[in-house]
Amino acid sequence: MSSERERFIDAWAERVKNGSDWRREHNAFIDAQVLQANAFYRRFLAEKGSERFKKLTGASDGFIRDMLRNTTAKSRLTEKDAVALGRVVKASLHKRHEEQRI
Amino acid sequence: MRTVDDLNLLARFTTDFCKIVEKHCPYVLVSGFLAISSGRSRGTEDIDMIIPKIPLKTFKALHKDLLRKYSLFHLEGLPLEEVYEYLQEANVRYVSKGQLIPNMEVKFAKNAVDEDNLRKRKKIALTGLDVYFAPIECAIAYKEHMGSQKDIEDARHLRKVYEDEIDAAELKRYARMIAREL
Repeated sequence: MSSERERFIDAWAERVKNGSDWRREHNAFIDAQVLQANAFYRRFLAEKGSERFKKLTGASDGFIRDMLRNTTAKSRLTEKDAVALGRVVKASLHKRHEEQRI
Repeated sequence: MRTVDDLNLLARFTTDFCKIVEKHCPYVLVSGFLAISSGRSRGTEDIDMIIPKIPLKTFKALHKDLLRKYSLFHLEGLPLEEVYEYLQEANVRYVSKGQLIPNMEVKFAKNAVDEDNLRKRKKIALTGLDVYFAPIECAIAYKEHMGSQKDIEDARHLRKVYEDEIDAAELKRYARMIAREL
């Protein structure tokens, strides 16, 4: 670890230890990371489709269906995205149905 | 005084999840979440939870309860008995429905370190969270054993924040145990 990095870790830890007003900044930072990551995965799923998404994340069909349902319900998609996602869901459901029949 | 609104998304997810698990069996949170909950300025995708090797019947009730609010990330649709079998060897990840991050990586206790953490779990006031963590000394020893830059930075942060509370003998004991078991 570089000494500059060490100084940063130490300075921040000192601030936490001393109980100064770090929590609001910290929570905002963590929330931003979580929200950004989820937005990225939603975008990736919408743009690249469920197969690429599965390859990237290892997610199951059921999870993808949940994610799509949740995303659409929150109206975070454009109409074009929603149509594209609809196709993905339909394909995913169809594939599942076919697998179950076999 | 802190209220629930002061929680960040990771903390809220974890607190809600732990409340459900606690109804069925003890648990302990391990690895990086203690550092993050203690102010370390980094995010994470997953939170690690250890539970004892519970019987299938208990797991069935726990799993059913969890699925009201969460999905399985990569085993969705798998029969419960197979999820239970999977847990004997590997970890299972639960996510809030429709979200990829954060996820709770649940595993059965598999070695002496895990068992020890379950026995000595504790709540840590500074975190402001009503959840059980592994002892601070173990968290530091584990991070220093893992040795990546992220882990070393986590350990450095924990050492600094909790310097008045760390038991040096315990830290050494955990370092030895971890070197032997992992």
